[in-house]
Amino acid sequence: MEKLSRGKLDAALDSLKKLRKEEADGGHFPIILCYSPGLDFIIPEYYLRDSVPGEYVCPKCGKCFGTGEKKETVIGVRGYNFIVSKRDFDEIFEAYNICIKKGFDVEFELHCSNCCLKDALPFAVFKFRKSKEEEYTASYPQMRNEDSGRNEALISEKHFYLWQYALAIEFLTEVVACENGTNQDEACLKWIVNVISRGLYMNESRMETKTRWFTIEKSIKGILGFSFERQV
Amino acid sequence: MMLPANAVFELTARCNHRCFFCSCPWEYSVDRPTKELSADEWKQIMRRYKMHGVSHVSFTGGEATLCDYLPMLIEYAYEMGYAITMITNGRAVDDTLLNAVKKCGVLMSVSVPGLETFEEHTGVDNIDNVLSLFEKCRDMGIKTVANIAVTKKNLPELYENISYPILSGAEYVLLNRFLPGGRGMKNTEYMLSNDELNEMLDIAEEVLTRAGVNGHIGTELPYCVVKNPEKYKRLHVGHKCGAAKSFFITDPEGYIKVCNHSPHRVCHWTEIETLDKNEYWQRFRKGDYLPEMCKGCKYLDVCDGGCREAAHVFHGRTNDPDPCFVKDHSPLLYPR
Repeated sequence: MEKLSRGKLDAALDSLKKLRKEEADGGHFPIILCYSPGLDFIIPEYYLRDSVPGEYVCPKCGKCFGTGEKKETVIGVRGYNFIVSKRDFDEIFEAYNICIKKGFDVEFELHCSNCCLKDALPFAVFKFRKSKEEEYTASYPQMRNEDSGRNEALISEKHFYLWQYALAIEFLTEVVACENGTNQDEACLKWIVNVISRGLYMNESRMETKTRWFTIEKSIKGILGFSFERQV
Repeated sequence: MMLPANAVFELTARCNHRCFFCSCPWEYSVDRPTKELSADEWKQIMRRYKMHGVSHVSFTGGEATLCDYLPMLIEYAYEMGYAITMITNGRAVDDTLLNAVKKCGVLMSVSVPGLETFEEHTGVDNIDNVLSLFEKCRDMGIKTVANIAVTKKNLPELYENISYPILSGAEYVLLNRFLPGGRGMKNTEYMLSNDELNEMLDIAEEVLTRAGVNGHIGTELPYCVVKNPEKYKRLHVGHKCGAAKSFFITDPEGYIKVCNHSPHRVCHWTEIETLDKNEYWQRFRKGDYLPEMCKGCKYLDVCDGGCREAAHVFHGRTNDPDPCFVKDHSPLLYPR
């Protein structure tokens, strides 16, 4: 092992950081290991959990939640089963899985309902990192839950429908992460044509093309922070 | 019956290092596993655990790479859709294994306890090979974690101990304070004092910030021991015990334990249906193990008072104080 002086060691670490930042700024998604508790909060086997969704620890306050027992005593009648449906979680988790498999830096956290209500937090937070410095967050549920008492706090540019997450994920996997040697512009064009020409998620097949385009653009920009350059 | 998401498989009790800090319980107790499960049995376990909600498997030991069928198990876990981690000292890693690791997207956690003190810690002169392994993995696109057990011996070189693996390609750093357990029970004089624990955190944060890399402290620290908990941005310092909640262990003979530190076998894997009614398992599931000294503490919602199994091994009960609260670490006093 070649030993470096402290000065040279620090210089090497500085260079490494610079290199990593350059990679990040270059549009490359660095793989950062998700060792945060987020990985434990996902519900990979949600369908198996049925009435007892399992125990989770809230990253905000550290409380365990999610068991049938604690649902009654801690979370109260508005248990998280009621707020977050199986179908929604399945969709989010699929998206999460795709990202993990593709090597993207992504985390998924669940918060306990006490914190959600007290601090107007969403139940599920879905975080992407474009780079270490830039983070994009999407969350669930959105303002559709009119009776949740959290409407105002949740209405913002950073909240999206589930199918918009799906669009963003698809964009990541099919365009951003396209194989080396593939022309990214071509991949992007192919993807857009594909999305525009099919019914969007949620069976919104009657949506006009202009509206579809707006929706796609909003999802990609809002969730991932990418903008399309229009070329007429 | 749902199991924690991460199942840790101790494939073998055999090891080609002799780390003085080794916490494997069989290095201290008389219950050294005499036989190992076969590959077919591990596959059976993976199929069974999958039905109980496990999504992530970690292969360890002893030294997992001494298990001949490790590559086969990795591929099997991958085909079953598990996320996979392998914990190793790197000494017996060969190209066959690395190819399986690469193919299956395995996260490789490599033990690097010291640079100049590596041999003192492990009994083996292998630091150059370990650093080369990080480089090789980086070149192959394999994600690696530098796994560093911190003791009084390597604290003086911790800055370098973190830096070199990062410069060699480690993408993440995992620090574990040396805690009594296993062979480490005979070497408790190398445990860090609380001031040294804080020094460890400060050094780690400094290196990680400079390198732009993240890391975390593996074994939970009592919140009150950390002098400046808000200070650490690159380093995640945890205070809650994940045993039986986010992970659990299956030992070389197929017995379930709540944690790799644990001297207590909860039940055999074929009896997992009984876990719901198992007092020991439920104690960890529910966090019903707080030390007397922590009662009334305002940080209980974020802290479990340190490592509960280290307290168990060190003092005798899971609700005893974390070993860091004992001033005298002389090995002559233990076990208590």
